[in-house]
Amino acid sequence: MVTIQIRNFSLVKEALNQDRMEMKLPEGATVHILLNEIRKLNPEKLNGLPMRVAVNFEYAAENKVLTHRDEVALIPPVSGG
Amino acid sequence: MLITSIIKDKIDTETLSDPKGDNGAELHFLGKVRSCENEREITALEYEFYPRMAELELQKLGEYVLKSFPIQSLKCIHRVGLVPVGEASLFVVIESSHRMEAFEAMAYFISTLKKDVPIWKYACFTDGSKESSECKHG
Repeated sequence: MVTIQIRNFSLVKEALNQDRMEMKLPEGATVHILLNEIRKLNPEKLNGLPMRVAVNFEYAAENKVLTHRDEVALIPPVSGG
Repeated sequence: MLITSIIKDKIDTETLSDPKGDNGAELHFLGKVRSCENEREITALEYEFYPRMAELELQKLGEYVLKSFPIQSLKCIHRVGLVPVGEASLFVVIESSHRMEAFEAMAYFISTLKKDVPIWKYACFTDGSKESSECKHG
């Protein structure tokens, strides 16, 4: 198993009611698998929400394999400016 | 020259001006907080950001724009935290030889910032409530 540190922002933080959490995933798990697990935590609010994922401070593709202690950020549509 | 920064204090617009600059165009953009959000009166916008990644993405975007457009400098300050109505959340200065390249670089820089830099805003309403505020203007 790998342990992933997760940062939640904006609408994701509101849906999960926490800004940080930890998740254990099987070895070889990808961003896509992580997203599926995340959406199960609050399908009503998260299933329709577009979300990008950053791994260690860089946007990552869904096929990126996660490694132990990666910091993952769940990034809903941004609205800076 | 490239300067990008994310700060929690009020933006001082004097800091980015270059009185000795020798470029034909020095284009300033100041993004300010309006008094109305989603047709409701607000007191402020509160900006949340992802520390480290927001700085990295802003710098990366600045590098790309400086490389891709014929401009001489790009300087940007984004304010986060609580920004009251009437105050600035974003200040960008672009210098170039002629005006058109500065306009084009500015438009691209701000549009991409609004899509890629992990910063989110919340509208703070006059009744004390707060809600996530999506950018609808691109």
